[in-house]
Amino acid sequence: MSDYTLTPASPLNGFSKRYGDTELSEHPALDIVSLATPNGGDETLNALVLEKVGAGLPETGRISRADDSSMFLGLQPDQCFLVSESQRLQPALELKNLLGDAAYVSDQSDSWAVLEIKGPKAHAALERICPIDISANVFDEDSVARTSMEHLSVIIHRHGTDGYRLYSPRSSANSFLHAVTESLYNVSSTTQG
Amino acid sequence: MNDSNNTVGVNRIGQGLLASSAPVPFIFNDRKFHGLEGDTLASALLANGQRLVGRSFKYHRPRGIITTGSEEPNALVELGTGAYKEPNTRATVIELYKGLEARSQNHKGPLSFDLMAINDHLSSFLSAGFYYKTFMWPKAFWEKLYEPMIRAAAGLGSLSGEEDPDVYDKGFLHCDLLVIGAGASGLSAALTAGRGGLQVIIADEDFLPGGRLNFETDTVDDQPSSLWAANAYEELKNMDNVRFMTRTTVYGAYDHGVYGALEKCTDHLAGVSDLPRQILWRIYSKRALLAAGSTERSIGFGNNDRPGIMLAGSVRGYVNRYGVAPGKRVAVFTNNDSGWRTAHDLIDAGVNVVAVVDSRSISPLMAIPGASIAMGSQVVDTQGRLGIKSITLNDGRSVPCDCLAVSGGWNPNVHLTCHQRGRPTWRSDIAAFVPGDDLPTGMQVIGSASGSFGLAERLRSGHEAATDILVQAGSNVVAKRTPQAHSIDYTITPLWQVPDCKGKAWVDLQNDVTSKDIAQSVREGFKAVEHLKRYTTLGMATDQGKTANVLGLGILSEISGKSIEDTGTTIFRPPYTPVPIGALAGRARGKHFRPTRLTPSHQWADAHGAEFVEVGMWLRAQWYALPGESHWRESVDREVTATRESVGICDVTTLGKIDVQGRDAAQFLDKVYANTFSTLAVGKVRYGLMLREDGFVMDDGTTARLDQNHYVMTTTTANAVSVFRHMEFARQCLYPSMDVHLISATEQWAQFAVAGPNARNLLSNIVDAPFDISNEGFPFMACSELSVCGGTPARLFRISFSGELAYEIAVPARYGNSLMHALMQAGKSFNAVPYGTEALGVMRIEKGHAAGNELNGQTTAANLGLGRMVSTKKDCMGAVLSRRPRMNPENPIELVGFIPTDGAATLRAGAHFIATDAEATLENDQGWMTSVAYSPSLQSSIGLGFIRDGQQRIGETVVAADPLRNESITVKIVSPHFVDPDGDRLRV
Repeated sequence: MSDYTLTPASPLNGFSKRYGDTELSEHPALDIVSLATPNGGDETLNALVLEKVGAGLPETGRISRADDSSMFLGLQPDQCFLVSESQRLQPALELKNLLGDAAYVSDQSDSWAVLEIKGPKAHAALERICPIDISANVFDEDSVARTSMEHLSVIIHRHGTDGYRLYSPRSSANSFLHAVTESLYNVSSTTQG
Repeated sequence: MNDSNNTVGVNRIGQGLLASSAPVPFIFNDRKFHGLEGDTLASALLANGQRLVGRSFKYHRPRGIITTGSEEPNALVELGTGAYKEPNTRATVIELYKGLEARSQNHKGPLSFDLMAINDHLSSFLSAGFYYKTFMWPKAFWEKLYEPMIRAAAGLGSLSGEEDPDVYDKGFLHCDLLVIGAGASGLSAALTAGRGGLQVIIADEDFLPGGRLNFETDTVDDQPSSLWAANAYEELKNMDNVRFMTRTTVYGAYDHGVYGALEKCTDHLAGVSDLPRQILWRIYSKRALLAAGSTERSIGFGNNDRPGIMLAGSVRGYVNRYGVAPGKRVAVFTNNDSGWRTAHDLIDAGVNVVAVVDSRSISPLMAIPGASIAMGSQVVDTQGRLGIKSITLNDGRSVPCDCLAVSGGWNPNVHLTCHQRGRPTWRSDIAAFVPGDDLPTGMQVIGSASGSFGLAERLRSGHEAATDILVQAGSNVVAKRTPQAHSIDYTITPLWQVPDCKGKAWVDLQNDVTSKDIAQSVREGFKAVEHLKRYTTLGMATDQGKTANVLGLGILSEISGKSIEDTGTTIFRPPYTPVPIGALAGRARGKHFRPTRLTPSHQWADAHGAEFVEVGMWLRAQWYALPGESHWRESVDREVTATRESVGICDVTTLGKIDVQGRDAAQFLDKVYANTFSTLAVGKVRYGLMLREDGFVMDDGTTARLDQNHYVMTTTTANAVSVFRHMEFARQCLYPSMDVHLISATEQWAQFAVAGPNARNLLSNIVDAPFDISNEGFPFMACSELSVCGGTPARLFRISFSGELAYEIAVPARYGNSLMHALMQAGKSFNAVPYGTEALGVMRIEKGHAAGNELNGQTTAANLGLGRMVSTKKDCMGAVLSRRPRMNPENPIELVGFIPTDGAATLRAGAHFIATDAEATLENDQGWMTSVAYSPSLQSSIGLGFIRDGQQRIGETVVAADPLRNESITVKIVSPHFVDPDGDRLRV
């Protein structure tokens, strides 16, 4: 047995800050596993995840929720992410054990820095960097999208009525955080319309 | 500093629409003035009797304020001081604030006595095209003398020369309907659409919505038009589905209903702010209504540019909106009914109208007691050096005045309709160009921008257009009724320039273009409108000819004897009004110009003396300087030597990692790689070479087979994204029936190379038992999933870039920094060193491994000495084209090594190889040096490079010629494998 023990570090060291009534914080511990559907295996996989996870496969751009702690994000044809409110050592392996050959799984938990922005200025702040329309009337709580903000790849979905969850690559997490904090700062003034 | 003691202003005759009578102090040319809240700088200057505000571009003629809006060609000032100074800002759109400082521009000496005004007396030498003709000889003088001289004299305001300290931002908005302009038609449309529930954005460049409704004394729904506008604004502001953007100019119409808009956020506020001064918005609209209004134009007559000569609609605008009379004795010169409205409003406001001169031979439209009414007459000249004092009529009469209100007609603001090459069409009944049929997708034009000048028509056109859009969207039409107004006739008989006028008749005031310049342009063959524009500069600069273009075209058509339809018009491109470079840059300044990617061990590296280098967006440790090391070579040589003698550790996370899974994963890799991967055993790694479709080498790397249907590919750092894209294209488009799925795992895994004779000894303290990392249990090119440091999941690959016994170990990225600590701790007893990209580069050159310098997109597998890797037993992407004859010449360039015959010489990458007795010419070029390094192992400079028939010429001597650095070094061609050519160290 090795004499050493490794300690995990989150991409943004647990960042959290309030801007008036709007809060921006890192979600430091999510299990994120990608599932790809084998060709021709949609029905099989859908039935299996319904049984084992508690939700069916989502369409691209939609979310299907199993319970309060896990959901599927439909990101592209034949591929979705299972996001769970936990941080296990080998979530992909556990899912593989559940689903067998019905899905190709790959751990993505460490690939993404996850920010949650919540409050009255959340939408206004994201307007400065998010090119897609995330208004409530077109982007509801079960919508998810892949987009880019400040040249960085981002997955976005709503998180509560006045909040969003943003996933951006881990290595550029500080640049992404800067983009969001600057947006929040810029809209948190009374001089802004 | 001189102060104006009058806090109201000598020309302030009322309060107009201004909300407050509290004085707002400001400074113009070091003199303190007072305006009122709601004033523009222009209205405040006029209120204080300041007619002279600047000097003209070329002739330095005294100039004043002409308009009330963004079309202003004359009243350009420098705003602010120090680094905040902004030149060429239009006084007519600058909102007054306490402490505003502005200066007139383009003069030497005081504004009232400009030494450069001598140009006006030399004007006969400075006509259109003068510098094309005048500064042609001697030729050598152009660059050194003439051009600097002209450039010094040209231009208007001056830049601070300092970095712009203001903050700018960008943003994205979406709507069902974008209404461009908040005048009568825009407000009417927005009310109808907003009440019907559409997501509406309405934008207006003014800070007070209403457009001409605020400048006129019209009535809408039995209310003063300005009050109706204010009520409409209040209603729209309170709708959740409407975003009302004041101080926002929609400056460009782009593809697919996308519009650019510039919002001014803090320009109207006193003091310095660290919040965005301006925001550049990209607006995605489903439909757009262009309600941009119209702009008045002048008439060409002698000396029609003196301060105090203004457009008639603006003169009454200053009276009605700002309570400012631009003069105490005002004359009107018009060819249409609009001039009479000015006379009417001025008389109502108690301003003395001394004359109305109408070029039309019709009956006067109204009686004005005490004024000279001259029908069928023209103004032919004006007098007054720094401001107008009198006008001369064509019958010789002179009328004293201090303001001349001129109306030559109104031009619909068609600019945005042209941004995708739309061409306006001529309407002779209003003597103006109106939008053509080829509008940007989703755009419709309403109000006076469409040529409907009557107020009732403008209101109706907005309502009806919005109603149509609501119906098409399936929404309810709540507002059934059009706001009501009386229509006032608008008739015009065009008059472009007065015949037999005295003195110069100015057409484009911003560029000092006269009717004489237009005539000269035609005489010299520049008859087409596009040529006219370039030759005379008509319609250029900050105002883009908003007041000048149509007047110029009218004069051109008269001179050339063609109709205006046949003369045609130039068209417009974005931006409608100037957009600061700072706004276009937004936040993308300094280190925020692009994202920065950090490796998982960045924190450790930073704390241990790493010098970082940018590799694409990554920051990688280049070397780790120890105390006492004063030169990077000392650090790099030490890192190489320590690794080759014991063990070194390098963060190689930046290499691309692609997770490949599927029943057909093996067959897919056989397609994308030149060599075969379906035969690779589970638990093994193989080096792979990837070709582009054209047969050239695209990338290389190792791919591990973790399971029957599961591979993990590595790519070079530089090509991580392009290889993934290439493979997705292959998967989706070339081999859609294959069951294969890709996902990037670059970010998921922190990966470290552990290299050197003690690599295994070090790792034996890291990997968890009972994993066997002995040479027998885990041989060269093995891979496995395992756990390390007491249970952390990991992947181990026995691969080597350095040529040493080496491994790459990967853990989930969250453990990367911690693993670096652990590896260094575990390596302490072996004197383990961290090494950076420089040492990595030295060791790969010593080993003869190709990297980016060799995989430059122009080299083939054969060039790299890897020709046999392109399997002939299977098909792969690029295979067919790699067999083209020209790709396989008899004497190809081949990758070999080079060492200088003089051991002390330093080789240079980029040098070209020539025979020892040949001249360094292109014809004698045999190849080039791609990579060089100082090899601590060989104690010599070494290099890799391509040279004709390289493999057959080992032992030969050639010259590495570097004419750029004036160096020639004799080198010996050697094997590219400088260290351990048989690979014995790898396999122990």
